[in-house]
Amino acid sequence: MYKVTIGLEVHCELESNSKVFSPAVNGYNENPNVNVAYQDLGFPGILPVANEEAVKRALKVSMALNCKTPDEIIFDRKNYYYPDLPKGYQITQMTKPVGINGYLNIEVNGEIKKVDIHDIHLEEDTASLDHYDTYSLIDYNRSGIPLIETVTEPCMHSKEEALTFLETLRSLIVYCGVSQARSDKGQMRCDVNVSLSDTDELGSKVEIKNINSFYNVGRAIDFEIERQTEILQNGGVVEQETRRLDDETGETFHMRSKVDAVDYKYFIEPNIAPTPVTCEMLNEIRKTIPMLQLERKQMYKSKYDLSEYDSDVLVKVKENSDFFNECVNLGADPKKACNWVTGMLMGYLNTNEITIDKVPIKPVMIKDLIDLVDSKTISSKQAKEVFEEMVNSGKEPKVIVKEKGMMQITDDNAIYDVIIEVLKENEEQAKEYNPEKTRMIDFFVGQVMKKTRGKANPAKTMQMLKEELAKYNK
Amino acid sequence: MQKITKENIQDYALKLMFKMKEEEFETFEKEFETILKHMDLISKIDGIEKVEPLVFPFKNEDVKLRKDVANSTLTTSDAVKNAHETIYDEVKVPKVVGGES
Repeated sequence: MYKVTIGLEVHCELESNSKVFSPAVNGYNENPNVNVAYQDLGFPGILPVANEEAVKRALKVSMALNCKTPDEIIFDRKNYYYPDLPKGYQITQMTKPVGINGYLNIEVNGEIKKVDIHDIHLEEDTASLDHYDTYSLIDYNRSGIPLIETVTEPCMHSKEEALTFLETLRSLIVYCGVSQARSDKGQMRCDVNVSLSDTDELGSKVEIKNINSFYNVGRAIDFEIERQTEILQNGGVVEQETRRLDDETGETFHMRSKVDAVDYKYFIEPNIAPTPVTCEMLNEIRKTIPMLQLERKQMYKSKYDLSEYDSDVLVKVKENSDFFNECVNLGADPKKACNWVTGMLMGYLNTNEITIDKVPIKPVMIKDLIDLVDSKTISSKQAKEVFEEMVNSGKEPKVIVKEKGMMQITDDNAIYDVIIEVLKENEEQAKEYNPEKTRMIDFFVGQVMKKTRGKANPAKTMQMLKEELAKYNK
Repeated sequence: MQKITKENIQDYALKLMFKMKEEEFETFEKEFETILKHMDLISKIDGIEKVEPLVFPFKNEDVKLRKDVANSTLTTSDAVKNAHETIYDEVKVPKVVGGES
């Protein structure tokens, strides 16, 4: 067995109003060459100016990844010629990236693993190319969209670790609110480095470039482990090279070897003057970083005693987790709030394929609903009915209870009168009553509920019925 | 100082993905020789090894980032005006395979 070592370079588009160095719209458009400004086409005579929001968002992710931030923002030119890069260089960061030497904790098989981050940098996306039989077409809409690239150290040792890292990073980006990070929309792309070794030293690095989904990252790693293992087992040497994944076969193929590595001739971008990064600016950004997925999950388990499963379900979507937190902050019992949120609420969201912001429900309503059940004003069965109404109309639970005349009868005398009435009407059954037969007591409870239109408190009714029936059979 | 040979230039041309003609190599070789002579002169200046590379001559504290406001986009027809050929508003180029990101 060889030790597998994996490093990742993850690109993620940032959302913003305008592009990173031009005022063109940062957004998807199915019509080509609509969202373009002079800078995106590399036209001379107009200079790039960095977008404040893109810089702040990149710094936000950098801080969330526990990185060291720079004292100033500067950019570098990465020179290479390719039709998707009209200037002949990409504006990126190398000298002073927005973050260096960070880490991200991930949870693999119940264990916390620290993944070291080498650096995170802000750069511009390239134009997109469509290839046809004899020609290629360029659409510059994507050109200049802000992109953050997160580079890990080669510190992961299995496909599972790599995929968990990607999921955790994706969640961090989404939690930070800087991008939806959807790989199906091409917002997240990935380069994977895989090396195998049977000594303490790393083996030859094989890089698989531009993988468009987490699923394909997994396939590429599987294929590379198999391919490199076979070479090593046969006494061969793995060549240091760059490969590409064939989406259809799941196999990687040679793109270029180390000897023809492109020399990018990096140098500091002279057209963008350095901007100081102040403590004030960093503090402002830091305030906007929310508690992240893994921390929330750990808090739910330790502080609220929620199960692993429930905690996982709650933190999957930040907005759902925020909603739950708000319920608890308002004083709702965490376990009861969790049951409502993960059960009825998420069930409703999933069935209707909508997100929580599309539902007119507020955390305070869940808290009130729990209170209504706790105070025995309504039964838990009625609470479900209230919930259905609440989720559709956005009415407060108290209002719904009142409108539907749902107040439970908890007054002993009122219930007693109904019980006596029921027993009189069903004297035969009452005489035959046997406490061993639960079906009989259910029958009487049912009768009482019918007469009170479900408003009698079930527990109380049951207890009083048992007492009265016992008298009958003395 | 190291001489820039034709082999060096060929290597860089390959790495930078330039296709060059034979006579261009000769021109480059000569031009690099001149440039290197200048470099050689500069390197003889006293204490030059202690001088940090200079990118920005002045420290400008007044540099502002751009507010994130989208505007002044080109029209599609203006954007592709200089293209040799277009198909459905996309710029047509000879087929390229592979790529960078």
